[in-house]
Amino acid sequence: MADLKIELKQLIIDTLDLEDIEINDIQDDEALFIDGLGLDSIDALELGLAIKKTYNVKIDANSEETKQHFSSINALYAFVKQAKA
Amino acid sequence: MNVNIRHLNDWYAHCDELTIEQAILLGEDEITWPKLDFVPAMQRRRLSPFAKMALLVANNAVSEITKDLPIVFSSRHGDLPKTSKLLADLADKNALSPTAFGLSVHNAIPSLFSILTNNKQAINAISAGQDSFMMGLIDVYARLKSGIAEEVLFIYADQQLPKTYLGFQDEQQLSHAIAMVVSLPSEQKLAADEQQITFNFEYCRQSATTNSMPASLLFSQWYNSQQQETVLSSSNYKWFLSKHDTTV
Repeated sequence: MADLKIELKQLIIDTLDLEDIEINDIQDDEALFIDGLGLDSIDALELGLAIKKTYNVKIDANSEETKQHFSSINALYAFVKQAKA
Repeated sequence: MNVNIRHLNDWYAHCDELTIEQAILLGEDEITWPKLDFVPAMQRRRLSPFAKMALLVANNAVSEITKDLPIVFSSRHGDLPKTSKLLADLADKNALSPTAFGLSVHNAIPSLFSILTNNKQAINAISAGQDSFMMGLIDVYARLKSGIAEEVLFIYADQQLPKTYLGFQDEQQLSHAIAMVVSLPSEQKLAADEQQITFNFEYCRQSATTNSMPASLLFSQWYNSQQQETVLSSSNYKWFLSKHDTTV
């Protein structure tokens, strides 16, 4: 299921207009927000919307769990895989 | 009303190779929007063409100024390509992009500029139909006359109407942005790129024409020409402009 990780990285790049960043630049265990990739709160909203649309999953906007799901590609991967199952 | 205008900067589609008249005729199929090197990449990625041209001229206008200036921003339609896309998404019952929504408000451009330049001065955002440019200048004048500010950064921008709205066009279309630093005339000598102008208006209802250039572009042409006086007409007003000859 490595494909889903690549798919998620591409979704992040496309959705957030990360012009100068390629799939290989995003590490699976790297933080997506603030440190690491350096995304911010508007990106979180935008990405949440894109994940919701693409994978038809429900995301609770204010929970601690959601924060956890969006912490890295690995976490996002686990979340989407589980939600789709 | 008398004001001094300096650091006037403009940008329009194809400005590198064409005059304003030629650019209007050519249309806007292939445009190279400003690169905006002064904006960090992570912030630049969210900027629309409308934002890019407006921020470019604003940055050029204040490039030699170290203090923060209050800003008056004016645009007839704002970032209409962006807002019309949001309206289309609403009509189709699609979820709205939070980023697009956040940057679609009329004062988004001067706000972005104030964040980028760490400017904490006040911002006004104006829209007044065909008179948006001149009404913006009136607002600048009011701000200066109130004594709150000695100088104001005036930014004007408008993009070509999106296809959906072209049927409503009542003036020529050209994506463009203009910025300048405005102050009240003083005893001080005018700077090298500074001119003192007088502007007045009268209410004058006239049937709309569809083939005149937007007042912002006419103003910029006049300012950069040798012509002493000009009159700008909208469907509601006549604006009388003249330059002061201060080279005594």
